[in-house]
Amino acid sequence: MLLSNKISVVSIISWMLLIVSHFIFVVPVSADTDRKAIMKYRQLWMEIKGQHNQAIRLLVKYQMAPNQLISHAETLAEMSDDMLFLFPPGSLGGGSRALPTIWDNNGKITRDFIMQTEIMRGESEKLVAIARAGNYKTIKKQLFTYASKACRGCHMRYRGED
Amino acid sequence: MRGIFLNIHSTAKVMLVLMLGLAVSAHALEIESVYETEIFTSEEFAHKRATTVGLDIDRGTFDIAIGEASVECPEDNFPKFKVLRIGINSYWLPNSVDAEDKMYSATVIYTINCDVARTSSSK
Repeated sequence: MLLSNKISVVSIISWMLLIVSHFIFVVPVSADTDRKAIMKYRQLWMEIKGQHNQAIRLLVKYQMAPNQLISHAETLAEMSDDMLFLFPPGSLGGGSRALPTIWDNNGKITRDFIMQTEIMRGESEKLVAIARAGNYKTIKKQLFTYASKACRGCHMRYRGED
Repeated sequence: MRGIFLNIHSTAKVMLVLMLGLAVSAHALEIESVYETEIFTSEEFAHKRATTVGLDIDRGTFDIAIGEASVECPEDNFPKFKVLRIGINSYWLPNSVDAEDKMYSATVIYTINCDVARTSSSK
């Protein structure tokens, strides 16, 4: 075999090994990185949502800044649309308290979980409307109803202890 | 010398217990809260309503208390509630003429005990 032929055979084998190794090593690592990234993002998202709740609680307690209060309520309503994005299939374990019951056997989000996100949307929209009306007592009541039905309703069914 | 060593040893133990105690208490939160009922025409009705609410609070099934716990301690799936006392308020509304027109509400005073600081990677 000529030297140039030998080189081309080695070159082809090298390329094939490179392509195969890409599928063996690179793809799974990338998927795992994506899963970890979305779980980290979900954690931040939940903390931010909790802080909006606490901000409303504080504004109601001191009966101040009604416009800020409306903004926080609107943000909570908008955030409820993110819920389905935050739970891609397999995004559990590794410190996450998400329970596998969020997904069905095919890895799709269950109808029940989707309904829970709809409750979140509905209760947060009620909170926006009540915040716009400006009665602090009813805002406080709706904030707690929202937190009970939307936040805790979901946590009790889809969040484990550890 | 041995006595000094023992003293140091026992002091360290006490310090460790105190530090552990501080660490545990830093994670727990107790909030005293008040729920006021609607206004009723008699003290008895107000008290009855407050008793029903109080039972729901104690059982952990009263939405308002659950919501408050969710806002204060979003990480805790199982906050605890305890009713401390029930108070009765009386009102003379603007159209009241005599004592017959007096109206009543009840306040249920309760505590929420919950865990505030689980690990930050707990979602």
